[in-house]
Amino acid sequence: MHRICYSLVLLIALSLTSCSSQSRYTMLVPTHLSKPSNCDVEVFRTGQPTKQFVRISRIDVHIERTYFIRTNFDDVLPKLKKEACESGADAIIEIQELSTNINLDETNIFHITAIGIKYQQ
Amino acid sequence: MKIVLTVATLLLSCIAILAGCSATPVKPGGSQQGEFREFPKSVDVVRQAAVNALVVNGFEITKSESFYVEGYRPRTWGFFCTPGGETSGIWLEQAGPSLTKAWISTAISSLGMLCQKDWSAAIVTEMENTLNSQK
Repeated sequence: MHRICYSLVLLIALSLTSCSSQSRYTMLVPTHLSKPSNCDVEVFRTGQPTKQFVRISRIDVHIERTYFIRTNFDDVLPKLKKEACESGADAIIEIQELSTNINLDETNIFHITAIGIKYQQ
Repeated sequence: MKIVLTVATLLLSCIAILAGCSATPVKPGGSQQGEFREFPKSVDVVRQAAVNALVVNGFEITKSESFYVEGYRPRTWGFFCTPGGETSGIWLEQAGPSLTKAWISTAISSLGMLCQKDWSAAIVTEMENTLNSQK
């Protein structure tokens, strides 16, 4: 019984520390109005919107996972949208993905850099 | 049950210690290894590129001063390795109106050093990419 408990505690502790993630935005314009973090934001994985826009923020999302677990774009999308909303963006463009594996491929490093834009009225 | 709690407390304490350990980077020069570059940009522009380069390489920004930027890579836990724990520092010096000198070094902490790496070259590459795209 004790062995099972030890194993469970160990697994929980390890799973808590097997992933690190961080996200942030940097404003490219002097002032901005944040939106609620669950706002509706358009995502352009390729191309750009046809409407006129201004680049207002740079968004970075970084996730590192061990135990050979891989990260993909869909995993980081919620964080990407959240940062875009908080920077006041209407849409996200110029999405750049960077995925590398280190430490005998056990650790996957996944980074997204994108630009938040505001449509001009 | 008491034993389980003790083990859990000890384990979490060890993780907290591992997560909290960091080393202090030393400015390259003399015997101290690191990278040095000159960028034909103002110090403000190079500082922003330095911050971005640290973030892209998974560092949390811990210091952002006029002429110094520092970041720490959070630790994760794996089968073979506990990556993370490195601290990188970027020293800046305004050498002219549009010329900035930058020194980059990475300090590796004593715990889990076999799984850590020197990120200085990767940081320089990212800074160069950012600054070259701003022409």
